[in-house]
Amino acid sequence: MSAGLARKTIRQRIRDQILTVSGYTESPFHPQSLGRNPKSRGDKKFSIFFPSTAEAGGRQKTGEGVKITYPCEVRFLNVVQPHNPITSYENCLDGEESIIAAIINRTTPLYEKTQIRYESSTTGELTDTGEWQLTIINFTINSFFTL
Amino acid sequence: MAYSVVPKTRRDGKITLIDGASPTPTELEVAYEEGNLSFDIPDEYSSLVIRDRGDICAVRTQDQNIITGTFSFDLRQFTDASEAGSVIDFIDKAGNYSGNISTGASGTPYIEQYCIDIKYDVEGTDHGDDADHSATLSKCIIDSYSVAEGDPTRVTINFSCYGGYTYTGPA
Repeated sequence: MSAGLARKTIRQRIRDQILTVSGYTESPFHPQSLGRNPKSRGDKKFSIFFPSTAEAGGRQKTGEGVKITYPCEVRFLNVVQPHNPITSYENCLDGEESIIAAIINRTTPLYEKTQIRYESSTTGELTDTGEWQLTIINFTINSFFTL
Repeated sequence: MAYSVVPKTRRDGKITLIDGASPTPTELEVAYEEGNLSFDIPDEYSSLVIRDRGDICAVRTQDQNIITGTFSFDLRQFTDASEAGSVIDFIDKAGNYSGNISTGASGTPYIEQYCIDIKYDVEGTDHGDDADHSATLSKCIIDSYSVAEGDPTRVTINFSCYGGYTYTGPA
């Protein structure tokens, strides 16, 4: 049985895990545009972005696939409530922890042929208008390309 | 045809463990390996250098040297009683490979411990060579293996070869 699994499938499985966190929905926009223009902003909208991929050793045999490692950025927005900015920031912290827990929870099928490790976060950075907070959670994924 | 003009890489390599069953040996291709096989083939015999007040005046043949090697692979399972695939089972003569036959039980040198042959195949024809290439190290005793946890967890095998080596290539 091949160890390979399409990154698209892994992305979709991560999405499905985040959707189990109350209130969070996937942004229909390109991951990098989340929060950059008014249309792409929305409370608890998230996106999943794999910015790069690198080989991770091995012989890259047919049947085994190419061992790869790549960062995964989960980005999400929280609205800044004008009268409750601190509570709004705490919503970011809660959201961040809930999403990390949802992804790190070693569930099937998310961890089938996939290893995911939490690395770091930037939490609740204000967008230019000051109305939204952007959180980026960084994971490292190890998996295989199918050959 | 001309001598190969293609330097080989780890993508071209394959390691196969072979037991001594006859007429059909049990074989296991090592999967999910790093591609870092190395083996050192010293001069067949060590040398005794004899000096006369510092100047070399004679060199005498001494003991036969031992070939050593190492390779590593990613840990998937330690053992499996029913399914083939465990390198650790193969070298331990355990699990699905508990019935393996030592390659050292017959021939010279006789080796009391369980030992195996290790074959290193190198792709050649895909690159236009006249044939594929291989090196078979006979009667290898696994001196040790170590398990190092990480991403991924890796098993490293160290072996000594007492039966010599055979190379194959274009005729």
